[in-house]
Amino acid sequence: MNPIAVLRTEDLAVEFSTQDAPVRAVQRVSIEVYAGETVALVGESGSGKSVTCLSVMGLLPETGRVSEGRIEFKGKDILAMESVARRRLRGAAMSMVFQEPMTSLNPVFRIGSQIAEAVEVQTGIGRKEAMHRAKDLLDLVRIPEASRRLKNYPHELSGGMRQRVMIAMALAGNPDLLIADEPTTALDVTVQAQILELLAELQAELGMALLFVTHDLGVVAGIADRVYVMYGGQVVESAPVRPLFAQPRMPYTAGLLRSVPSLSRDEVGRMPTIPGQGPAPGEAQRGCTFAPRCEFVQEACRVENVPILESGNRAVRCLRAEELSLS
Amino acid sequence: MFTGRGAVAVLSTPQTIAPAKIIVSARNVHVRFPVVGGHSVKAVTNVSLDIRRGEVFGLVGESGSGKTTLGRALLRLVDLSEGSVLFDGKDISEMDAHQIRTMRKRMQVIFQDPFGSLNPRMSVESILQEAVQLVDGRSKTAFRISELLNLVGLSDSARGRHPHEFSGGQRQRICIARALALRPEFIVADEPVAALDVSIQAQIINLLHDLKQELNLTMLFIAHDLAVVRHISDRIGVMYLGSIQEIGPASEVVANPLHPYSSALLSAVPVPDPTQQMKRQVLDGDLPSPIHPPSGCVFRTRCPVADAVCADTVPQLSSVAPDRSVACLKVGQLD
Repeated sequence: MNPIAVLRTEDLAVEFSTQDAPVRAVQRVSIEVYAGETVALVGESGSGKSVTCLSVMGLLPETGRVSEGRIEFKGKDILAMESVARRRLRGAAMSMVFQEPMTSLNPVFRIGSQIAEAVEVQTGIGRKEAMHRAKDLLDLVRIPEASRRLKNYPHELSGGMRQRVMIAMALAGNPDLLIADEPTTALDVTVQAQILELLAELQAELGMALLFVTHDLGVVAGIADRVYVMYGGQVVESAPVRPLFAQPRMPYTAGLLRSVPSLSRDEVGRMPTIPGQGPAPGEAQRGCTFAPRCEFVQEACRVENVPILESGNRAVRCLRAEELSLS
Repeated sequence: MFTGRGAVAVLSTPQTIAPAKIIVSARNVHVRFPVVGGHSVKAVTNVSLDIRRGEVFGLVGESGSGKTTLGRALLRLVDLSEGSVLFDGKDISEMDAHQIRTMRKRMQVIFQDPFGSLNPRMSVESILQEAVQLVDGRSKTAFRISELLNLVGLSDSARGRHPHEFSGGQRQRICIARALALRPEFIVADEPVAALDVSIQAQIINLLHDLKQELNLTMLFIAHDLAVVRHISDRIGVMYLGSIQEIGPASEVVANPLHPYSSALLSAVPVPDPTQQMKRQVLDGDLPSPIHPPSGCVFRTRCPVADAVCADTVPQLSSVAPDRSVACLKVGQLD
């Protein structure tokens, strides 16, 4: 029997109110993340990947709300929870690391006191003990000379160091679920390699569930066990990482994989592309969201709402998935 | 990564390229920015570089490597602290404001952020009109604008619209059209696709590739993404902390990097294939301060093969094989 997922969403829909009609940023999103696995949520801007994460964390801006569906954390419906209980969950049992470490740290406090504060809030221990724990956390994220670094201000640290501090803070409450939203996008490639290695090691050491949000398929290939591909606010394909790259079933996934420049491919000159551009948020549309850009589109694709169909450990939202051969 | 190429002969003279074929030539260029306390940021240190007519020269490096400053120095958008830049054989580092303005029509720049580089209050037509009227007469303006829009793959209906009505990729097309309006021979493209989604990025790379062929452009393509640079460039220069560490044909630098930094940089690039994940050669530490760069080789503090000699001697970029140069004291001794 399957163990209970650490995180499970079912037909999640998120709406943002605007001056006109409400805009639906995410719809029918069902994902699962289990303890000890790294799941990538991959998509381009506007695909809904960040909104999905913010709704799980309960951090949607005021104009946004979950309009449909369920979010379960270790089997409990968290949308039904009182706000106090939900706040207790956030930061401790589930925590999040963001893209921009500079704007997430307070520039006027030493990093030691910022980490200790997170520890105090999440575990209820005293200040002195929390400071010890802060040092341990810096050791955990492989920051050398941790005791000295505790006294640094954020601007005294490099971008990579700051992201390590953010990860340390996110781990303060021993979370079951860590959501990392584009944690390496703002970093240089050699520093990105350091942070990815760190996250992989921590995930293995601590056994937590890691939900990794990114637009970079190269990063996905290196870190993920399973992948959800998002497009236009929906999950359009999910699969374990190897079969997804070897044999994508959704034309969007295949197109995306082809348009990633790679060092190992020996081609130069023109690159394969996906014509057109992604749907604008709230663009009213019938049928498959990818239909306007799809080379395999048929009349039915523009008319019917396309359900996501599961087979084995894969799922795909495409009417023609069975007949197409895309690899 | 370091193939022992046996005894690599260090040739003292670089390969001679006929001067007519070289469009931009940097000679011992230094750019320093003063900071408080009488110090200076050494953004570019002793860079010499020839860009050949008709080629795409890719300049890669991480943030703080000086690649953007070097690109601006080649256009004289920043003043040089030392050295000179020749454009089509003429020294532009000494030109006065009037002379440089005339020269600049022949060189243009495209920036990373297509949001920040277009005036939000101007229509596409007036954005392009400003540029077109600098070279073409007023009478031909309307025709030329259509031609430019067509060239970058935008429809004529774009004319009356404003920048906010376009997506990021389309906005970058407008910036490219504006750069082309002056019929330049040389374009510096500074991270032109870094802000774009993958599927749009490929469209813009193809556009730049096609334009280069059609208009016989020479391009300096600056980017942090090695895979993108590899794809579009004929030759690649790798920068680290203000200096060029290695220059060579794109495919050769990628397949067989000669500088330890190029090798580490390549190893860090994520591979979009889960079956080909190798153990990365992860560089320790961070970029040193460009105010107080290390003595000798600037990469030695993070280099896996550096020794005492590297702290004393500044390695010069020297030719080690046909069309390949590297600035490393350990070249030829590595395995």
